[in-house]
Amino acid sequence: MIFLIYMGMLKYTGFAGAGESVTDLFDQIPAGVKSILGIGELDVTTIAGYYAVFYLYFMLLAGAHAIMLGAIIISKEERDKTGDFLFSRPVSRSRIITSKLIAALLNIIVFNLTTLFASLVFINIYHKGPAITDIIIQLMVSLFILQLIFMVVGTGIASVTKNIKRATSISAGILLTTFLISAAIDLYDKIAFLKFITPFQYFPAGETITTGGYSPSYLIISFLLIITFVIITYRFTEKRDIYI
Amino acid sequence: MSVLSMIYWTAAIILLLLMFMLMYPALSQDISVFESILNNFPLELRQALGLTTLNLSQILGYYGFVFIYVLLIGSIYAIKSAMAVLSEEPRSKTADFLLAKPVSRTTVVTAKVLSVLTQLAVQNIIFIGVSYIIMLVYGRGQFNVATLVLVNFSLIQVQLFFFAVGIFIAAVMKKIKTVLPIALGVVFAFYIIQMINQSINDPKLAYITPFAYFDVGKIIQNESYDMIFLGINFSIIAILTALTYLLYQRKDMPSI
Repeated sequence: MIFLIYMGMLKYTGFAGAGESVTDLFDQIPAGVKSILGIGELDVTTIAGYYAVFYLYFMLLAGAHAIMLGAIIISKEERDKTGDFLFSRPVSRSRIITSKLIAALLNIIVFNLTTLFASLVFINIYHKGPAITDIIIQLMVSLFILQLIFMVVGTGIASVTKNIKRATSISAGILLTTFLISAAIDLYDKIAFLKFITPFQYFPAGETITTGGYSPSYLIISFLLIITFVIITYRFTEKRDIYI
Repeated sequence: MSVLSMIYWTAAIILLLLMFMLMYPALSQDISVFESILNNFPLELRQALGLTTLNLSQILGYYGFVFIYVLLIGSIYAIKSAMAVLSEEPRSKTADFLLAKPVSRTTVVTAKVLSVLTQLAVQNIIFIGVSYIIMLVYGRGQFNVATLVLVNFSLIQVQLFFFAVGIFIAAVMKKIKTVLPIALGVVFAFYIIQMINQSINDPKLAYITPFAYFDVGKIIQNESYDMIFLGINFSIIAILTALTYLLYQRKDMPSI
């Protein structure tokens, strides 16, 4: 996890170093080309637009972190063979799950805030001009929703699968599949109807920056997804056979 | 179990290739229009966008674009199986069983390494065969087979890089409880470095990531590998493998 955050930092320095020259280059692009490239609605010459390009990779890393965290935190007891210790305590299983979910939630909040502060600091160092704090915060909120979705998908999968070793594999599979579908949608807009399958497409950075808000239908979908997977997590872990 | 997982991952790679290739006929129309517009713009501009080297309207150019995702998945598989096989004993608490046998640790490592290498080799043979068939169907003979082979052979080389990183991590870390998160983190990190390298075109960054050693666009353009990067890749693999042997010799094995 620290490694992931560290990589986030590294990315920024790379981005920051070359930021200026790239901004100059982007200035020369005629508007027509930009729209063909799919960055039309994004003004890459502004720091916000440029930041949005990197936002895709934050989503990938944050999603990977969240879904792995979710899958592991639930299956941990069986993996470490501490199930008999933990589950024989005089607390109900739902309480255990609640504390686990809160712990995971704190983790992703820390991850999110670290990304937020790193972004703000680096942008302030390298960007001279009007602050874009509100846009960054808005993007981080949508990143947080993405993290939440992937986290509860992870916990859901871990509570449904019988074999705990499968939980992380399936989670990784889901993450990669949704990421690839998202890449395919970016490439070929005729399959845009697939957008609702992949959380990577719920709150595209370009849209968030230009419209300054979130699409309500995707907010509802995210909300429903999160609720569904939380319910799945509770229901299936409650009745789960814990192998020791 | 590991044979099954090899089959799953190979199937995933092939499905991915197929999925993107199915989109090709529809896409190629749009792309050729787009490319003709793009070609009117200055070279620096196209460089910044990472579009100089990949010619998407050619089937091979498009294949190269898809191949980056193939590399991504193949690399995750390589590092995951390498890390899993060498960290299995501390994880399943069987170190006292295995390492008490009258074979040296070197033999143990060699056997483990060879088993993963065999899987990678089988995966590559299947992939190269299937991708050739897919290209025959979609390319209608309009591509250079030698270049396709060259592109395809970069898969095993990138995989070997991640394989070496995987066994090295397994040798260094005391105990790896769950393999996949580390595997995903490492591969994504290198992948993102490459994506950034492509968009900002910083030559220094290219030395860090194997995805840049085998830049598909350049391979297609030059119809050969970059010899310097080939050398770097080979050296890194050799060094990490040697270090793994050394470290594993003296590794403290927790048996409980």
